[in-house]
Amino acid sequence: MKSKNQSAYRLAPWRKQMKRILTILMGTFIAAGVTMVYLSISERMTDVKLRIQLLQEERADYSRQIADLTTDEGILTAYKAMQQRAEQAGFTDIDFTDEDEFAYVIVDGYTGTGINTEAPVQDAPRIEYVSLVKPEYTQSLQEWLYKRITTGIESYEVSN
Amino acid sequence: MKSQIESRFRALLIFFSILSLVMVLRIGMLMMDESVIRMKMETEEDYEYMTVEVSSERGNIYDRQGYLLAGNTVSYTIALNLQHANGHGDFIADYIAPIFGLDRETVRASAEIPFEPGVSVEWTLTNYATKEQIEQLEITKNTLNRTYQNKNDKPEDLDAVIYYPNIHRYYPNDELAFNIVGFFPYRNPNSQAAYGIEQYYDDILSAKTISHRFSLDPNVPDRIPDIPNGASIVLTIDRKIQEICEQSVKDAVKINEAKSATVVVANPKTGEVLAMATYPSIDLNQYWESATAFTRDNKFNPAVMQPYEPGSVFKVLTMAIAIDTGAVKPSTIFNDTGVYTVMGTDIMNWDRGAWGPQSMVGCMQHSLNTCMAYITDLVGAEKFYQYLDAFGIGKPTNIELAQEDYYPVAKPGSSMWTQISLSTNSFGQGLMATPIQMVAAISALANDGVIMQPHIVREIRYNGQVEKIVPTEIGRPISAETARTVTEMLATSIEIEASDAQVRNIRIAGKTGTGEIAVEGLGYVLNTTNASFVGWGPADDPQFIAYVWVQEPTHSIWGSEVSAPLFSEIIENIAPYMRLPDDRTRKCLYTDVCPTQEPEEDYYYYYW
Repeated sequence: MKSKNQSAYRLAPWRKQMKRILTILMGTFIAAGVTMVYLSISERMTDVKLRIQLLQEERADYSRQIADLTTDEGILTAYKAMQQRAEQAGFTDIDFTDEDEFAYVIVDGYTGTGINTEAPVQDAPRIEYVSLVKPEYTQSLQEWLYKRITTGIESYEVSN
Repeated sequence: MKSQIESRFRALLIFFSILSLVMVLRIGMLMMDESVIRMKMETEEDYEYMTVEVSSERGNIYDRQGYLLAGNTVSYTIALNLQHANGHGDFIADYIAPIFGLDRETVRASAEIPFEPGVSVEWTLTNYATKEQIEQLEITKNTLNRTYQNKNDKPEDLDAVIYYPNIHRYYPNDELAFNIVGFFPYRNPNSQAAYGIEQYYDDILSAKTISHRFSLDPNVPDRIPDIPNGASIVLTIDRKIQEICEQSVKDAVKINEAKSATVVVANPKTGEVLAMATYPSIDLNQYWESATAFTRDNKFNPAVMQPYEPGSVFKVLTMAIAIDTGAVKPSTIFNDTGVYTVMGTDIMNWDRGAWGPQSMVGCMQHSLNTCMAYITDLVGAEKFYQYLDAFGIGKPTNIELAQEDYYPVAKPGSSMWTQISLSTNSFGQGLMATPIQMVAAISALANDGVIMQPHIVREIRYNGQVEKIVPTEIGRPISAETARTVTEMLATSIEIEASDAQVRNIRIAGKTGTGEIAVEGLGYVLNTTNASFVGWGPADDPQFIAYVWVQEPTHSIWGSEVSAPLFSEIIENIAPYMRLPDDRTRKCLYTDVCPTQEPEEDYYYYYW
């Protein structure tokens, strides 16, 4: 049965239009807000990742430089190089049989020169790498959903 | 009119709904399409991920003082970007060839290899450019850029020449301790490390390279993995002692025109190897020379890789066995007639002479084969070979050096063994041992009957942790009393003989050896010998044991004339670096009595 009732008054057309415009604007603002938050986080994340890459390259470069300088030091202190420098500087071999030139002295606690370390003594472990980051933190939402849909279970693969 | 508009709107709505449905279905179909899925994956691969190569460095090797023996250095790969290089071959070759010492025509031809995207993009010219060459390249590039500041005026440039840093193995001491260190073939990194520590510890020294898919999606957290560098290894060798030994063996090979010479110096109380030198040698930075420098009869590290018939130095063990079993005493007399017959075969002395009645000291002093054959008969085959087992003869020592070889001893019951084997084995023929095996076995005499595990690694350092190698006892084949008795016998024998092995002001025990060499198909050949000497000291408290082997000397074939003086020279030169005072100084330092002159002969206590 069709209702015959009618409102006692109707909204003016401009009010209707205003209401629609405000609704659309509100929707637009919310969408823009979400987008801005998303973009801001994405931008920061991208920036951080780029910086990580740059620092990684820098670290690799420093690592190479350290290895190179260690070897340079090794070259400068190589036996023949030191012998040659000593001779050029006028040093001569010690006559170990001449007690005026060479004497033994007992020094309590002296164990000789060499590499000494305070590092803890432990078995040297084998080299292997396992990520400490759980897979939940390395998957995007899409990847997580995809795996849930295709396999029905959560993936616990260790990333590498 | 109104209902007409509504119906049109409704039709439009239906049309758009159907259109939307068709679009969704189409999108769904496309998403399921295999080629589209592949394209999506390829796109993801290209734009969403970046494959990052993460590498670590090969561990270093140090001597006991901390001097670097094996490290890593940076070199540069020089490549041409073919897209920019094409058409500029002559220009690039004119500048690049002299800087990097390359053939001009090769560089020109490389630059003209046609650029094909995805096929030929870059062409490597060399992988081993130095820092200085890179600096020179940069100067040349800058000079060209300054000359033609306006890019449009620049007819040609070197922008097509690009370079990347690499890291590769380097041995700063060149040939020092080459036989111990071994090498990593840096020009062929896919090959394995060869010889020595490099090969033995390749798994923990190795650099690791992993490829990591680094996500470029900002929503995907990711991290580039850390790979610790390979372990670093600290050796027990002292490079000064090693250098002295290397110089001495080199001189010995040249003076004696020998095939090779090897010396091992160790601490009998700990089993630490202080030096292990051999000649011929190679510069490890030119490791490819090893292919021509070493042969089957002259190996990379004979001290561990080359068993040989040691000859009379082996009598030290025979005498120790005889004394330990009680078969003889130092004062036991053997009447040498010059011949000792076993199963119809005559055993004779080195000089074919007869030395008459001899005490056991005399047997050792004159190195009588007949006497050794006699005392092993007294000991008996079963006990003799049990002792050899306990001394570790015929077994690897398990020192931390790659490719250790050994030669099993033929024992009673084996088809290779006869009764004559017992006699010949007693004076070091018919069996083979490496110098490191001999050092390990004879160190029991220098360490109160205890054999310590021979080792050449002092520490392994990995990722901030240190594993120290603790000296370990591996056997006690003879009693301490036997060890001291035989040491005293040999020290006396060296003194009486006035051997060339004597060390100035340090009393040592030792024995020469002249081992005959068996040639396949010919048997033992005349005038070709292995001249050896083993010695330890100071006789009253041994701090070192040294084994010298000169292979096939030509000027003299005798251990007493070739190896004994070499031993003496080496010990006199290395004693101060072992912090080993002479006997008189030791007495002054550690007792209240300080002799003012050289010690008298009766200063020592004799057992008989």
